[in-house]
Amino acid sequence: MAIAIGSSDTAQRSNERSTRANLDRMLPYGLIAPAVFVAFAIAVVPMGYAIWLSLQDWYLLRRPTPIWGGLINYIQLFHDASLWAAFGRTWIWTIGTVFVELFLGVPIALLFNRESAVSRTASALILLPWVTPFVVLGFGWRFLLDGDVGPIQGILKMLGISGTGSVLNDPVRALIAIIMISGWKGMPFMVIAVLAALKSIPKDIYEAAEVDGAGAFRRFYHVTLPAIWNTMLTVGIVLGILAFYSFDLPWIMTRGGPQAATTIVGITMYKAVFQELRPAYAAAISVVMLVLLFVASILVLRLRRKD
Amino acid sequence: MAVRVLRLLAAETHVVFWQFSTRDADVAAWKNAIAQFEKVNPEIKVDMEIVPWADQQQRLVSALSAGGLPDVSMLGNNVVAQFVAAGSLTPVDDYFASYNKEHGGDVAADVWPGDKGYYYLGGHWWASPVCVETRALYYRKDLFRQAGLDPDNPPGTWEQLAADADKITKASKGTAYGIALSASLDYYTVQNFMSAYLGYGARMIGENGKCGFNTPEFKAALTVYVSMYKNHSTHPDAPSMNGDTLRRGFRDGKYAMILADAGLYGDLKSDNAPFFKDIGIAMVPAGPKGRAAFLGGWPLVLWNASEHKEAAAKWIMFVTHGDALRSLANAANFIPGAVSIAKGPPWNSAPYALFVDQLKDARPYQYPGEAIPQMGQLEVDTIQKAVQAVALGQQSVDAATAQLCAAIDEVLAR
Repeated sequence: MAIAIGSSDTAQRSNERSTRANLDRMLPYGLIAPAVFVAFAIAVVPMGYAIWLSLQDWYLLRRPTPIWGGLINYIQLFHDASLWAAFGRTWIWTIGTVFVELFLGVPIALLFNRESAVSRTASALILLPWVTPFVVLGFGWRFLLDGDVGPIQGILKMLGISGTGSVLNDPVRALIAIIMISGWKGMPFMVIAVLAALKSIPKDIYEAAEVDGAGAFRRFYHVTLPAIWNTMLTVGIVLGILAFYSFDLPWIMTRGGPQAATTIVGITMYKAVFQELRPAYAAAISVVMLVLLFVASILVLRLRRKD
Repeated sequence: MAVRVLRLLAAETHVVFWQFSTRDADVAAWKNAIAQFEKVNPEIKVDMEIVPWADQQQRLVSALSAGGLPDVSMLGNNVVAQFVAAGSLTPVDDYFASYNKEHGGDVAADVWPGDKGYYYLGGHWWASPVCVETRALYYRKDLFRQAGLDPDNPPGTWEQLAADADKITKASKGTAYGIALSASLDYYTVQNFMSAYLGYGARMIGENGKCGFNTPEFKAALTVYVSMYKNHSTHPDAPSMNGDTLRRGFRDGKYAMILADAGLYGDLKSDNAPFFKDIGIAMVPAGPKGRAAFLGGWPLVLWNASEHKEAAAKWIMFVTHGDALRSLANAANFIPGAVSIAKGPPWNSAPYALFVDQLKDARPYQYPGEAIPQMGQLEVDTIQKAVQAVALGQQSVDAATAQLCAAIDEVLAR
C-alpha cells in the first residue's frame, strides 16, 4: 500500500514536472504570439492581398469586380515608359533625400555633441521639421518659394539661381527644391541617431589619438566616423525607405509637375488607383516597389556587414 | 416610455449621406434640410457624414473596391458617367416618376439642359441635381479706369481679355496683375480653358471617337490663353499655383480680373473688400464660334450598395426639389439645379441673374458629345499638362497638342 501511495506521488510529481516543462516551453511562444499576430495582421495580410490583387484584371470602368488576370498588369507595367521614368526619379529623390539628411545631419550632430547652452536649446528646436506635418510644411515652403513674395525665392533670384517665376516652375529646379525640403524634413532623425552614437564614443579614445598627434580631421576620420558609420547606414536605410514611399510632399507642392518632373512612384500609384481607377495595376506597381526596395536594402546591409 | 423609444428605434431606417462641403454655412444648411426631412419622415434618419471635396474621389473609390459606400452622396457632375460605367449607381427614373405622380409636374424637364447630358445616360436618369455652377468674369472697374479702359465695356472676347489684361498689368506698375489665370495642373486650368477652346470651336472628342483637339481651332485657343501668362499679365507662378490661391489673390486685390463662380461675390462682400463697389461682373468672353461657359455642379446619387433604397430615394427627392431645395440653395449660396427654382428670387436678381442667364451657354468639356466615363481621368491630367507645357515654354503649341491627343487616346482606348 505504502509503495502504491509512493508510486502515485511520484507519478503525480512527474506529471506536474512535465506540465511545468510544457508550460515553460510554451511560454516564449505565448509571449511573442500577440506581437506575431499584430505583425501578421498589419504586414503580411496586406502584402498577400496586394500580391493577389496584382494578379487580377480590374479596371473599374470596364469591370466592377476583379477577375483572374495572371501577369497582365506586370506585362503592362514593363511597357509603361512613364512609370519607369517615375522609378528613375524616385531613385534620384531617395538618394538625394538621404544625401541631404546626411550632409546636414552629421555636422549638426557633431555641433550638438559639444556641451553648451546653445546646443541644448537647439537640439530641442531641431526636431521641428520632423514633427511638422507635411501639409503645413508643403504650404509653408510654397509661400517661401512664391515667385512674387517668397523670401527664399527672392534670395535665389538674387543669386541668379531662379528667374522671375518660382523655382517650382522649372522641371530640374523643382525636383532639386523638393529633394532639399524632403532632406531637411528628415534631417532631425539623422541628427538624433548620430548624436546618440557620438555620445557612446569613450573620451579616452580621443585623448589617446590626441596624444598620438592626431589632429581634429584625423580624429574625426579615424575615431568618430568608424564609430558612427553603422548608425549612419542603418538610419540612412530607414530614411531611404521612407523617402522611396513618399507621396505627400511632392503632391502638395507640385502635384508631380511641372509636367511629370516631380512625379515619383508614390504619385503614379495614387493616380493609378484614384484617378485611373486601376487598383490591380497600382497593386502590381507596389509589388515591384517592394521587390526593388528589398534588393536595394539587402545590398546596403551587405555593405554594412562587409565594413 | 422606454419600450416606446425602443419601438421607435427599431422602426427607424438610417440613410447614410456623404456631403462634401466643409463650409460652416453649407453644413448648417444641410443640417436644417435634414431636420425638415426627418420632421415629415419620422421613420427615416439621415446620417450626414462630411467627406471634403478634396478627399471624396479617394473615399468613394476606396469604398467601391473595399466596401463601405454610403446610401446617398453628392458627386461631381462629370464623374457620374464614371460610376455608372462602374455599375455602382442605381437609376432614379422610378423615383422621378413617383415624385411627378405625387406632386405633379415633370422633374426631368426641370433639369438644366447641360446637366441632362451628365445625368441622363443610356436612357436612364442616374442623378438628381442639387446645384449648378458656371463661371463669369469678375473685373475691377477702378483698375480698368486706371489703365484708361472703359469700365462699362468689359472684354467680350478672349483676344480682348488678353489685350485688356496686358494694359492693366502695365498701368498698375507692379501693384496688380491683369488677370488671375490658372495654368497649373489644377482643376481651375481646365475649368477656365474649356471656355476658350469651345469658344474657338475645338472639340475634345472627334467624330471618330478619338481626340479631336489636333485642329487649328484648339491651337488658336491655346495660344491666346497662354499668351496672358507669357506677356506677364498674370502671376509668374500661375503654372504651379492652385486655383484657390489665385482666387484668394483676387479677394486680396492683386488681380483686376478672374473667372469665378457666383459665390465669389458673397465672399467679397463678407471680406468688406475696399474695391467691392468697383466690382463688375460680365459674361465669360466668347471665341470666334461663340460663347461657351463652364458647367459645374453636383447632384445627389443613389448607390447600388444601399440596403435602404426607398428611404434613400425619399431623401434625394425631398432635398433636390421644392421648398427644401430653395431654402438649401438660399442658405448655402448656390444656384439650384432645378430650373424653375433658379428662375425665381433671389436668383433672378444681381449678382445671380447674370450667372443664371449664362447657364444657357454652359457646356460640358466634351460638348457636343455625350458624357464619357473617362472624363474624371481626362479632367485631371491631360489638358492642364498641355497648357502648363506651353506656358513654361517646354513645348510648342503643336507638340503639346500632339502629346495631349496621344494621352487622351491612350485613356480612351484603355
